[in-house]
Amino acid sequence: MSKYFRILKNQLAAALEWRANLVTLVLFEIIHVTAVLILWTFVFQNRNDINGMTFDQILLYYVLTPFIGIFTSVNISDGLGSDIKDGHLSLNLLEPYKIWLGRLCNAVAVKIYNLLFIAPIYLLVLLIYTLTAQNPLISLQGIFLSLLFIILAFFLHFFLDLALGLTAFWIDDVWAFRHVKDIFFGVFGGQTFPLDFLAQNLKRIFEFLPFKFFYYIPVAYLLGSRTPNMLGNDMLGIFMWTGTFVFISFILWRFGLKRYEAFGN
Amino acid sequence: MIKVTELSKYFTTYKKEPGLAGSFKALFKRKTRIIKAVEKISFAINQGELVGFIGPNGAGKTTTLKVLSGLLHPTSGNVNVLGFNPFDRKPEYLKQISLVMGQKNQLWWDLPAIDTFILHKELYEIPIKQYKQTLKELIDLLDLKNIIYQQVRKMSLGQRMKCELVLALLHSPKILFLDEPTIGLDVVMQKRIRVFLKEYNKKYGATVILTSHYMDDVKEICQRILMIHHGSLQFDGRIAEMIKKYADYKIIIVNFNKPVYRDDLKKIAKVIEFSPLRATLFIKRNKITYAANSILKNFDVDDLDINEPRLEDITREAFEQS
Amino acid sequence: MRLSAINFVKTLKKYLRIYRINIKYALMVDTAYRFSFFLELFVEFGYQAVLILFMQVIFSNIGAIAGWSYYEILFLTGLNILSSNIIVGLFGVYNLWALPERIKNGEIDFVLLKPVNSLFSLALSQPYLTSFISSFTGIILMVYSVNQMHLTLNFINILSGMLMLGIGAIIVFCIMCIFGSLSFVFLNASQLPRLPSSMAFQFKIYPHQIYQGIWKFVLYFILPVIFMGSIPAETMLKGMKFEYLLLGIVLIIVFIFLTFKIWNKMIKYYASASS
Repeated sequence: MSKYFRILKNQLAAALEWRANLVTLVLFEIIHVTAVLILWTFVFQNRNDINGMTFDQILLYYVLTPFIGIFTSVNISDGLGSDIKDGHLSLNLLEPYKIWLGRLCNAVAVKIYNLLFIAPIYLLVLLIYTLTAQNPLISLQGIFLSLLFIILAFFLHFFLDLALGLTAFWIDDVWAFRHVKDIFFGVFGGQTFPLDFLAQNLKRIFEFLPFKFFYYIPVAYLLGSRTPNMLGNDMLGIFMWTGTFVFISFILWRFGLKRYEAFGN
Repeated sequence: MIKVTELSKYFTTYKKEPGLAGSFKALFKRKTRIIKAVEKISFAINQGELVGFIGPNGAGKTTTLKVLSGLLHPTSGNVNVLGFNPFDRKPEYLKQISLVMGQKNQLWWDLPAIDTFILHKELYEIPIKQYKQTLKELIDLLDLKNIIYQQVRKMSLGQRMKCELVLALLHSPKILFLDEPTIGLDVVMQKRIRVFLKEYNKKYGATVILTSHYMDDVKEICQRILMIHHGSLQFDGRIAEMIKKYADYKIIIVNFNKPVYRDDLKKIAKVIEFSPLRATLFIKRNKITYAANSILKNFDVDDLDINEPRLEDITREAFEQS
Repeated sequence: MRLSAINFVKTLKKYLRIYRINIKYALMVDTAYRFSFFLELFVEFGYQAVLILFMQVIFSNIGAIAGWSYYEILFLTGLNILSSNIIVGLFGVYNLWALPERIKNGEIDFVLLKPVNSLFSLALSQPYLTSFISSFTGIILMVYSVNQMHLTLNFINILSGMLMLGIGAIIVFCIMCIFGSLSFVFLNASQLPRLPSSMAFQFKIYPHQIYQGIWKFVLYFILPVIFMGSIPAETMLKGMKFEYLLLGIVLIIVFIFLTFKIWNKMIKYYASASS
């Protein structure tokens, strides 16, 4: 167990080398939040709500969504894909720890690193909001539930990304999958627009897919538009999807490794 | 044509403490350290010379080369190459020099080498007639007839290196800088490159300046050696002079019938290489006979050989002396 | 360096020749990796679809914004797709975005020793051809919107719009170069060159009228990315506003001057500090 902890520490130390990227990352977020702020302030100059959402709700939604996204994002498929492609995996196979756990450590380390430096900005914004707003929309219960789903969504994302990365045993251009994933997440996950904006029939399709868990669900719980009585369904959903991807990963790993060993890549 | 006066080049690097705590600390405050890569070096090189900079890794050879070519700005001192300050990187200056770095490619990876040559012709504004003729001569000298039409990524390391040399010489530079040009190549290819450089220098009169830590590069190509160690110029002259200056000794290579102890040998001579049945020793020239006799008397010797010092040993001696 | 007219034309021809060769080589390499090429194109279309979807959903819920009707917004989106591709393809992928990598693996040394302007070599010379193709969606969208509005665009307006777009492209290019040149100083900042383009992507997609107060000042004078989105779109639809042309010209002069100054300074720093 301690060896995984050490791997984690090393990954985090390595990530910290990239100080200037840190600043860039922070600036990316600030730019995004600013653009969103400007747009919605202007739009709400002449109206009170859009499709049922007030200014506060929309603003919070667009500010919180990427923040949540940082919590739940995982990007190991690129690295895993290229390791498989160039044979680097062979080195990993000889190392005395489970590969998927090693990747998980990597993912968690990057997560900690991101959170340490990005979280403060958002927390500051949230703090300002809760201190100045008339009827703050965020409740303690909401925070707790949202946190729960964030953690679950992180693991869901991890196994999905793991499965994606493992397709590299057969497919050359795994990098493309990451872009496709980003696009699907963005559109179907609620990053591009709140799923509430959609017409009923479309909304039903979106609800069925797993992508909502990455942005829409945690934010909805935080903002109170989803209440504890929906908890059961959502928990069931996320566990089922996670289980599915664990299973897929397992199968891909089994057959992929056989193929990898056969070709002596 | 190259005149360097009191050249110094210092770098600032950051010190980071190891471990996770160190990484965090490094985010806010880092200790700086000044590395003196080159310290007050002076020399002059004339047109057409074949000069080698030798020295151990980190001695300052590559730094000096980069300053001469114009990539680095000196911390202090004066550098004048072909009448230019290289650091200004004026186009007129750049068209007269060329830099080749061992194991670093300029050629486009996915295209035939000839395509990079064509691009090079445009970059350097080489008239087409001159381009065609130079290309033909270089291909003949390097024996590259059909290879230049192959994709670079399909070439062997040796072929790639040859094409890199063609690329570097297409614009007929007056000075050719080479940084570790034969590194990573097999023995046959190394020799091929050395022969080529000598021929090129002879035929076109271009100044060739190279850095290497392979003794054979320097031995076979260069007339003149500049030895750099810890950033300062230890020696500047012909190889023969260097041998006279630093090689006040000879080498004894002994093979024993029965294993011996290193300490016993140390009493007689300086031990350079040792294994229980064989040793290489340095002996001052005036003590050779005495040492040889001692060894034959005190040990069970199978074979004893007395040689002139090798260049490698001389340089090692020189570095250890400083 | 003395710049007589003849010298200038000669130099221009040289750089155009080099650029043409680079395009040819890029084509040769791309067709060798054909599947990758189509895949990249497909991914590009994906991102475009997201943008269109975004604008679509937002504005179908809002109606008009800042005086722009639905189809005018669609036209704006089409133009934005075009200008994004300009940024990505001409300035980004193999040029400024690749700069940190180039510095890291030492390619820079070879580039600096060529008798070619370093700004050209590192920021412009390698176009990404996929963007050329994917920019057509933008043009198609613009044509479609104009049809739906039952408009015929004035030829002069189209030219003026293209002029404004060109001005915008130069301005954004300069901003990207300035940020990109910081890569010579902050060697580990692999994402740094993407900052200005990311900012452009975020701010140029909206009608410039939504920027008021301090933001108006910033987006008109300091980081004028609106010249690559809203302003050319408005110019094409409604005609040139002289104030914008004047502002654009002044901005170009200032930014080009700044770019050269800063770029050269950063390279000087690199040459003093690197090892």
